[in-house]
Formats: sequence, structure tokens, C-alpha cells
Amino acid sequence: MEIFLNLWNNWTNLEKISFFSIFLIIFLLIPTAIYMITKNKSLVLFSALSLLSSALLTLIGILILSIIFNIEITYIFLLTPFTILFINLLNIGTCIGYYTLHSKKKDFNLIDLKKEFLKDTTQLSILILLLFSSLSISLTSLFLTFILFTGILSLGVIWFNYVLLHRLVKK
Amino acid sequence: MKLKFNFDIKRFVGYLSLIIATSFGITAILIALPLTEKISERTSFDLITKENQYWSREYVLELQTTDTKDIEKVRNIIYKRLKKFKVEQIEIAKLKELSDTGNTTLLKVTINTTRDPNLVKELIANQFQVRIVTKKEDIDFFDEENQFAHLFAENYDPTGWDRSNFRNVHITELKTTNNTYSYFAIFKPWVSKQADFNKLLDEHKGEYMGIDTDGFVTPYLVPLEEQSVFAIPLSYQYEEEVEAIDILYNSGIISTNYTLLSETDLDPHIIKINHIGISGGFAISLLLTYLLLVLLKHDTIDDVKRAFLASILTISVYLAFLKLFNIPVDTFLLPIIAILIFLLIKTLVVNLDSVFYIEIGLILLFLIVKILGYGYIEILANHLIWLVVLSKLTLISSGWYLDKIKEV
Repeated sequence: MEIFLNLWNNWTNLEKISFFSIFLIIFLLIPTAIYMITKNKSLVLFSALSLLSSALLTLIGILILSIIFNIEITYIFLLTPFTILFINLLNIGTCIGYYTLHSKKKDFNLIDLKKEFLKDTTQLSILILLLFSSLSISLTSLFLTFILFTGILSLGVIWFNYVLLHRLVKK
Repeated sequence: MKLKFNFDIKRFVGYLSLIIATSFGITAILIALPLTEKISERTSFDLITKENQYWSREYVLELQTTDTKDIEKVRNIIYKRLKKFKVEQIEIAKLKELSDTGNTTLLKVTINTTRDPNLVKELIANQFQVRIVTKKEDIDFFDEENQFAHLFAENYDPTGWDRSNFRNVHITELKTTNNTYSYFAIFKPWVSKQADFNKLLDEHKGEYMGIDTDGFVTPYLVPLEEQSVFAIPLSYQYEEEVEAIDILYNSGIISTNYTLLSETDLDPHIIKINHIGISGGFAISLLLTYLLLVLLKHDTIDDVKRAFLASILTISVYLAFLKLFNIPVDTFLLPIIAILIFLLIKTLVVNLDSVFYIEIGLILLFLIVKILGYGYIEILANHLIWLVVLSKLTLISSGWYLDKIKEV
């Protein structure tokens, strides 16, 4: 916890407000927008939990890096939540896009959505795996740790999304 | 015998546009590739990296207060100033030990940036307390023995007007009496104070007033004729200086007195990466990734071709733009940008039903981060906003290009 306390104490009130405003706005804006687009409460809950879980996973990941692997958490790791959010939005976006386009069709059922989401998540995973690992070959030291950490975390987040969708969205 | 000349204008325009598009793409790729700057000596195609421009310094400020609220206010305003000036890394910590007297607090400001060191120091070290003053009656500004009398605050009387009476200080270029342009600070009072301020100017028509900034005064001769604008000339010429003065005027009022106690040079934090090696690695990895996608038969070959072409074009045009316009860049952000853009393009190509939601969602995210974030997150968001737009354009043009090629 010390790393978070140090970070917290070194931040000005303005920094704290800005940082939390970014996440608060995103956490409110995205589920609200999804509700307005889909009118489906399960998908709203899915998006909200997905965003929350990605934030939690990032925090836990940073703690593990710092405590277990004894890696110094520097300013570059502030880019991890942003990268994770980007990838998470891509993942959620594919699900919402498919739902809005197909939900009005007569033969549509939510199993199709789950299947499509599995396909999209697999594709995204392959790309993440290939791009992050190919980049890692040419990197060293802290930046390599950052890239590996962000890549692994992204995979964790999108597969957690799949589990969430599977559990939350019922027939 | 009559020769029939069959000229299909539509086909000709199609070929021509294809040739132009191909040339544009190849040019962008060539400029973007590392080391192609060595091809031509006439133009420089170097990627300007920020690594060598970084410097780091620690400033210790002594605040004449121990009140937590006042200290926090000073921290916030200094942070706001540096954030507006786009300083990459800022850390403002309250030191645990108080100074010798016990009535003051020490604040440590640590900076790691590429911005102008003198201007950064100005933003940190200046309290920038602004007051409007009037010349003391017994002071003669034309006294040859005291030629700088007009510059010192002790030669002026306070009017009770300070920065808090003004909603904004607008910095702009105005025409001077010599028909040249110079920067001015226009003081705009709160609507409720406008009448009182006009009255103050009326009372001092033809007299010297001034803006006292931390003890140094910029004199202002109040014109005899009626005037509605209170514009003080600035002695700055360069845009960066004017930006800093604008920030000092408009980032809040520090009422706590403080002084700069010390400044110490530190080793800058720089993440150095070999961008030439990484570019090569990326090109190979992109090829391998798409080859694998073809082998896995996850997507149609058309989708793979479109995504591949759009990815190459987006990154090439972006790098060519950075090189041609000499925009300095943090090289360690380039691999992150490339990964995110490759992921975005691939996702958009195979999920046509989601394009709108993803693009709008991402642009909203970047705008929020650009407004509220600072440092590298803000820089990254700023680049990605343009790249999302660029990737949209390259996706459309890649589709068009591949269709045209098929026609040929």
C-alpha cells in the first residue's frame, strides 16, 4: 500500500480531482451511453462491471509488481490504465455494435452475441499476444516490464469481460 | 482509312488516381522509414526525438505559512501553471521538516521536462502578486539621479485594486503608436466592478498608474481621452514567453508569500529506446501477425489486406507528418501508439457493425483525458485523437485502393 500512499501524498488536490474525474466521467458516461443505445440492463451492468474490474485488475497488478517482483513503479505505469481502458473500449464496443445491429432481427438470441463476443475476444487476444510479444523482443529493462505487464493485463481484462458477459447476459 | 481513337476518360481518371495514390503511399512510407533521411541531402527527414532535450531539477520553496489550506492552494496553483505549460513530469511535495523558524513550510517541486528551463523557473519561483498602483505625488520619474524610479513599487501608492478584481487578463497582440505590433495584457474587470474601475481611471486621467508585480512596476500613463481598455504593454516577444506570462496571470492568485530557497540539478528520467531497431521489429511483427491471421483463416483475405494496408498507411503518414513538420516526440510513446492503432484498425475492419460506437467512444475518452489529464497521458491522448481520425481516412482509402486494383 505504501506506493499508493506515497503517490497520494505527492499529488496536489487538483491532480487527485483531475485523475478521479477522468475515471468517474468514463465510468458514468459509458454505461449511460450503452443504456441509451441498447436499452438492455444486462449490457449496462456488463459494461460497468467490466470498467470497474479493469481498474481493480490494474491496481492489483501494480501491487503484485511492486510487492512480489519488487519492481519500482514509475510514471510510465500511469500509461497502463489508459492503455487498458483503450483495449477494454475496443472489446466492449464490438459487443455493443453486434447487439445493436442484430437485436432487432427475428432470429436473434443472446447465445449468438456470446459466440460473436468469443470470436472477437479471441481475435483481439491473438493480436495483443503477437504485437506485445514481438515488441518485447527488441526492448530491455523497465520499458520491457511495462510492455509485458500491460500486454498480460490487457489479455486478463478482455477474458474477464468474456466471463462477465457469459454470466450476466442470460437468454 | 480513319483511325478510331477510343479514349475512356473514366478509366483514365481511375488509373491516374491510382498512380497518385500509390505515389503518395510510397512517399509517405519512404519518409517514415528510419534512416531514409540519408537518401536526400536537400531535405532533412530526421525524426526529432525529445530524449536529448530532457532536463530535471528540484526546487525548494519556503512558504510563509504553516496553514494546510494555504499550502495546498500554493501547490495547486503551481501545479496548474506547470500543467498548462505542458511540463511532462511534475511532483510537488510538502517536506516533512519545517524550516528553522518554525513559521514556514518547505515545498519541494521536482520537474522532469523538455520545456524552457528559464520559463519553468519563472512559473515556479514567482508568486506573481498583481496590484494596481498610482505614482506617489512626491516622486519624479524624470529625475536623472533616479532613472529607474518608475520601476519600483515603493514609489507608488496602492489603490486597493488587485488581480482578484479582474475576471481575466487577456494577452494579445495590438498595434502600437509606431505602427508595429506588440503584446499587451488587457485587464478585464468583473462586470460588477467595471463602473468602479472606469471611475478609478477617470480620477487619474493624464497621471501615471502601474501594475505592480511582486515589487516591480510596469508604468501606465492614463490617457486624457475616454477609454474602455486597460492594456499594459509586455516586454516579451517570443510565443513561449507570452504563453508563460499568460499562465502566470490566469492560473489563480497565490496570496501566501514565498521565496525560492534552492534549486538542484538532477539526472533526467529518460526512457531511451532504439526507435530504429523497434521500427524494423515492428515491420516484421506486423507482417508475421497478418501472415498468421491469413494462415489461421480467421478473417477473409480482403479484410486482412485492408487492415494491413490501413495500418501501414496510418503509421507512415503519421511518422512522415512528425518528420516533415519537425514535431518533437517521446520515442517510447511510439510503440504504444503503434500497438493501439494496429489493434484499433484490425478491430474496425472485422467489426463493421461497431465502427461508430468504438470511434465515438475512443474520441470521447481521449478528449476527456486531454482536458483533465497531464504529462504523458495527455500527450498520448493528443496523438491518438488525430490517429483515430487518420485511421478512419486510411481505412476508407485502403478499401477504395484495393477495389481499384481489383478493377485493373
